[in-house]
Amino acid sequence: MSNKRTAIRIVPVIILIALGLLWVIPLVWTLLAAFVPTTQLLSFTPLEWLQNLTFQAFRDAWSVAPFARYYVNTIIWVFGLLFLQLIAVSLAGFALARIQVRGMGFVFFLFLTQLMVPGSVLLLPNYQTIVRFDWIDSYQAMMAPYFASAFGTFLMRQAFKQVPKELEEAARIDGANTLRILWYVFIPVTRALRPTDGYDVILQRLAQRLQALGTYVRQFV
Amino acid sequence: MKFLKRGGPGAVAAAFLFPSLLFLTIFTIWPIFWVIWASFQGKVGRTRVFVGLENYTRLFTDPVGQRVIRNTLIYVSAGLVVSVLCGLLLALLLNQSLKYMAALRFPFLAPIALPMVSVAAIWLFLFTPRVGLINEVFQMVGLPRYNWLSDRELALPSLFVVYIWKQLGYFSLFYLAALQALPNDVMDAAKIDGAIVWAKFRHIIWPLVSPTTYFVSTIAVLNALQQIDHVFVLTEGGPNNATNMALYYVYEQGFKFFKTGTASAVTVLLLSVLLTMAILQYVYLEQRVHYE
Repeated sequence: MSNKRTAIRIVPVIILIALGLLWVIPLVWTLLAAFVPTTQLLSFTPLEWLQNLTFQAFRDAWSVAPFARYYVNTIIWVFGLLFLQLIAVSLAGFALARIQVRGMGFVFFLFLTQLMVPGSVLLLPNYQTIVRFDWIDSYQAMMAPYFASAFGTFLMRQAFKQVPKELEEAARIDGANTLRILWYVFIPVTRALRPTDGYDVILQRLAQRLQALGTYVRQFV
Repeated sequence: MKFLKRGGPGAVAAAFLFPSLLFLTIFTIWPIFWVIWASFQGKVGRTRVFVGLENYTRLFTDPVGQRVIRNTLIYVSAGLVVSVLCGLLLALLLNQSLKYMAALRFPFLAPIALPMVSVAAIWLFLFTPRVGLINEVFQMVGLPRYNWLSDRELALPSLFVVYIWKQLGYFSLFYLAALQALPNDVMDAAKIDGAIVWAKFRHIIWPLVSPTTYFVSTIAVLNALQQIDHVFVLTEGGPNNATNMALYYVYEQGFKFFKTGTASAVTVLLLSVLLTMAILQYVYLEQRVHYE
């Protein structure tokens, strides 16, 4: 009986460890291949691997393509997009959270469609649009399709909804217009959210980049 | 700024929403209508003509189209089953209270953070027939070497392995959260009753995590349809269309063969699946599937 108990306890642990090892092999192997010469990699001799660690692969890779330029491009692209998107989502999020006018429900629905339809599915029509704007091979081509963000807008909307009404009224009595209220009250109060939106932009857009790269811009230089 | 003061809340709302709505319309709303229109168009010479449902019917009669539909169905349904069953199983394993659990979780969570492009590059290196790790290990244990990505039978399963390696941890995260929220008294009661492992799973855990199963199922279908970067990197739909799937087919027809009509028809079919999934998720959020 106690043997059976121990078995029930120990077998899952062993399975988990075995599975974990299996799962981590691709990562470890890639890491090894980056530092160990390919010829020695296949001899499966860890001791020799350690003696022959080299940065040669990185030097080779660096000389194959203008990576410095690629990194600059990526940084311009991501941070440019982040900056523009923060303006757009803050404005739209504020309108959706704090202004009650007719038709807001429909606007909300329009944003919702973007959450339901991933951009990669609309690659073909968006390509046609970008051709018509003559934006092929430009920064705009990589940024404009991602400028409006339903995720970011809803994130801002939720945050702005929680800002106390009194803060807004106090600012208004002091004579601030809506734009000033947004800039001096709502943006500072919800600053904790900025990294979340930034994370979404950077991670999601970087992940989606390949498809846009192959089509909207032919070479990312 | 003056008109904002005079126009009242309507004008302010319009001005604030304008930048987002403009780009939303150009790059999300308009394209949806455009593909629907384009899916009924064909080309005669260089001019577009209305062809009715021809783009759709050809999809189901053309051998490549049939192949694509078959591949997509196999891939997505296999993805659905494996995501739910293995995702839950992995979550059960990860839910044990062990000392170094964080380290044991790492291998499954790390691939989620990697973009599919990098994951595909890693696996390209493992699949390589001559120096790939998989074939080396196969040879060591006395198995034959395979051309994983250029074999008609093996290519699709190989892509599936890559996808599961990347995404399984993601699905089991939802289950892990569900398992940790299970009421302790129920689990204790099962222990006192001496429920054996299978009975405990079948009659307690499985029903209690059913809302999560519903959620994971919809996410799994969406993921399997959308994540096709590895097709670009590893096989480009080959060999002989053995790994050609819906979204890749859109790309191939639209950008390689300039068959806008066919590409649009597939896009419309994809959109309807995605919208159905979105509605199902909405229904789930509104009235949760529950046993209480």
